[in-house]
Amino acid sequence: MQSTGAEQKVRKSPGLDILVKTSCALVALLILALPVRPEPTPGPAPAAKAKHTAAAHTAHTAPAVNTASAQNPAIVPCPRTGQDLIDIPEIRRSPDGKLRAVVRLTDGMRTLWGSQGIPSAGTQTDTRCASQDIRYFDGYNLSDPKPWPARPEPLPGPTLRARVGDTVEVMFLNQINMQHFANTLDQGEQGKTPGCDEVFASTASADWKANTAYKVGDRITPTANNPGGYSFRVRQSGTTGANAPTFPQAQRQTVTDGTVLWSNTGKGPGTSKQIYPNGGRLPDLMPNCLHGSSTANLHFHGTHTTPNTTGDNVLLFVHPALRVNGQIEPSDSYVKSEFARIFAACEKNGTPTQWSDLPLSWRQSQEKLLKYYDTTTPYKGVAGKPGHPALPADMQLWPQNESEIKDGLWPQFQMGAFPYCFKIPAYDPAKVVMGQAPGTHWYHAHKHGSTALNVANGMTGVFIIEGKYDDDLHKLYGPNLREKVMMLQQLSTVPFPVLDPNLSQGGPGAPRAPISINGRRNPVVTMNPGEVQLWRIVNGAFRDAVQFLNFTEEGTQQPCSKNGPCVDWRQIAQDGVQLTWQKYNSFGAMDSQLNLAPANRADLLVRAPSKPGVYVLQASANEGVPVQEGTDTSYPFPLLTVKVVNSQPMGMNFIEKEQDFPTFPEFLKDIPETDIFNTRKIIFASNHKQIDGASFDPHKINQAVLLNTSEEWTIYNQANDKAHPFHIHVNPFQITGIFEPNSKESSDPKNPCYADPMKPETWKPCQPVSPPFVWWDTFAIPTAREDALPASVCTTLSACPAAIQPYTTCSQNTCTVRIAGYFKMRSRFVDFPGQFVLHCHILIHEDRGMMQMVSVCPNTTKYVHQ
Amino acid sequence: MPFTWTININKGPTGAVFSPNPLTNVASGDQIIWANNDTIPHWPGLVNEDGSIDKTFFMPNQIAANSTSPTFCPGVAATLNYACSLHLTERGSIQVS
Repeated sequence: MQSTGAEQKVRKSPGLDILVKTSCALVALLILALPVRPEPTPGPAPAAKAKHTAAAHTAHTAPAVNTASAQNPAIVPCPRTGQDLIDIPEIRRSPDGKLRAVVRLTDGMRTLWGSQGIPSAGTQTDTRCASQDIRYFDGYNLSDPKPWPARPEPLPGPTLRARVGDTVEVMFLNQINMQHFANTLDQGEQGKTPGCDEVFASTASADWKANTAYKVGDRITPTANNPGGYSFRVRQSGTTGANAPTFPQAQRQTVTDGTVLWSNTGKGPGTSKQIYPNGGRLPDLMPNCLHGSSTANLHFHGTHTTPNTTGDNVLLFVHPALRVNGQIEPSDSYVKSEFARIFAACEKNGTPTQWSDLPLSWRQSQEKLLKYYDTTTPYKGVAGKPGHPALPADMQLWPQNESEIKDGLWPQFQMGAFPYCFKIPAYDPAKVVMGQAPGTHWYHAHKHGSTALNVANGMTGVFIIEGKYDDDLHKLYGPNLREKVMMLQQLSTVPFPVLDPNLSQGGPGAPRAPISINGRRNPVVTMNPGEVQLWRIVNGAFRDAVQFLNFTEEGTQQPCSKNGPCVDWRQIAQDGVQLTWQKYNSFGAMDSQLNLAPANRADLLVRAPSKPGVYVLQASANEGVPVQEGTDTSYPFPLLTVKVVNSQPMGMNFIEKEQDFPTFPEFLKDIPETDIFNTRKIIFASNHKQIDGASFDPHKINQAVLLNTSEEWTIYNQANDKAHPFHIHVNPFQITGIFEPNSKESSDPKNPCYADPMKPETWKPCQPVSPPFVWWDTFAIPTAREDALPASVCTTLSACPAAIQPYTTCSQNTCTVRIAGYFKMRSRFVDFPGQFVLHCHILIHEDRGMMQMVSVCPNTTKYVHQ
Repeated sequence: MPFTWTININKGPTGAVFSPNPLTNVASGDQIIWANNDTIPHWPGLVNEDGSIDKTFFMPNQIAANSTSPTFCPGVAATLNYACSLHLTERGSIQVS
């Protein structure tokens, strides 16, 4: 196989020579980034600064973590509808090709909505709104700092706008006040539990039962002889009689029933039990459970860059800054001075490859802060003190870091701040196999165990990477092309559904957080008649897919596009990668009902009609199964409103000529079958927690891939109720085949394409996906279909035909065949060796274990055989 | 979505004090967490109609000093009277609609 420019660069880098001697497994011990040139470690920080930090910490005696004292929610009037779409503040690149951003994770009171009921399931909408303390991003441009807007809407973080070839320098600050949130720690949660958050809940007590033994404390809510609907508690244990007694209708009154003495408890309180972590056959266990929700990091979703060190490294735990003696440690000014040196070195040398590449003063200050945390954090109610930490050793953070540093690894635990610095590669065949696709990407917190809660809180932001795509669009449309940046969010302080007492088993139809855009529900976008706008849309919901159905005139439910003036759209990019001209005319056909799974992005050209009016974009929130399929997990809602004002028509139109369409990047040409070096099968489980039959194991590499090779993977979904959105970091992929067992064609026995449960050889796509293939980084795997077999076929597994036994389960004389949905994808694992993850982007599934570790290993060696 | 409420347990002149007390505006499905800011453990339990205390109704164990309770989600509309099962005079209530 011909070597690539990136391979040559690996071989030529003297500091990386050692890498080529290593096995794939050993690569885990060597943090590597491309393109880089190892340089001597920068000199130590000014002594005064280091001394200042050290002195500050030794003087403190207050515990690093206190209990919660959050401000309680204030019930407030819900925001009125019909308000304008909020423009998210942007941080733009500097002319010298650097994006210098501060992204701060903080917390404060923001207005959230109650849950959205699902009409078809009969679940109720909570009409309350409340100002609630949530964790969120704000930020500013280091080169041009401006205050973050003080407003009640839960805005996403600042939009970052860079350009292909730029260096990204993000000073990430985690300044959440841990005293405002319970259950915020990383490891042992102060000794209360094995580490998982715990939830207890009350539910309505069970009905009275005849001839049943009850013990003191048992509770019931009888449905007979109890007109007031009161609840009763056993005061004296025994066995109930054959018939229900007449239950007294005043609190504290008692009645004898057989040998049981019941006492009226009034309304409620219900029966309580632990609902999370719940037991069963596959209970949530550390680290695959909800925990550590104030620790965060940044995932630069859609970037083709290094997953290591200060790149798109999601293996980091950036702990909230300490608050000691009323001061934040590390302080902003100290972080700024240290990171200025780190970023300067990064600009000069590329992404650091070793922890020792960072200034000694910064490394020492981090060590001191981590040790301070380890020393003072309470454990089982006892605060530690200098020399006598309360936290057991395996719950302390610094020893873990120390061990990793000793092994040549980049330490995972960071205190209060982290200097993200990486290059967005421009395509240059001499240096990289692939460049960064210019387009609409995003960033979000990605700390395992709390990704869902973090994203639900709003720890998301849009990351726009401009390039020739933008140049070509603006060349065609000129200054008239206005952009609207939209972050779809599903905001909540409670991850769905495991923490809802009435829905502890999950299940469809449960109320859930509504979809908002840039902090508002159904906001208004103003357009001129005949105007075309570029809408950059990110589905940053932690759970729901959002399908764009159609525009209707305000006050009607009929799609207007076929009946007269209407707002129309054409899709020109998917997941931050532009379409080809051919796909623009099929995949991106006018008003095509795109369904954005969580993490999907779409760039739309949106055209207003030539006359004024008000138009509503109707959408459905779903779980990857569009509303037309008739499941009760979907619900329709107005996503946004377009107000076409009365002004001079602009006469703009969609792109109509191929020569006007943005030039498709050469490095994104289709991956031919002949390039496929390896194939794999990956199976997402029906239990929503596992891949390939196992929960996430942080110490295991699940997929080892050779650098600079292409592979074809088939990704299966065994769940029949969730279209698990498959996502993989660092490299986008192309879909080359889709099998949907629940499609009309595949589920109709009269159709020649019918997927026959008795014939596994028929479980294949009805239509091929035609090239050129669309690029994605997240794709909802089609749901599985379950078909019960007639008893005449078999009632026990051994009696079923051998061909279907691997896919069949039998219970109580009924056998069911599971036909898994799947898609095939091809990807190039190029340019960036290292470790990253693939996972389900229904983020609570990821937190509960539906994730795997990928290691891209160098494909060269320095060994010689002579 | 549901909202998250905190009841602080603060040291008072004659024992711990729950704040806010009563806790109102809570709806079925919301989350409640007790934060023990005191220097000794506390253990909120449900006060039954006969005055006895069901100490494991909200949480299985006492809350250590300077620590927080597990989350409790009321799923039934009720007035939940509670008391510290370690210090019976320390009382509070939650109104769940």
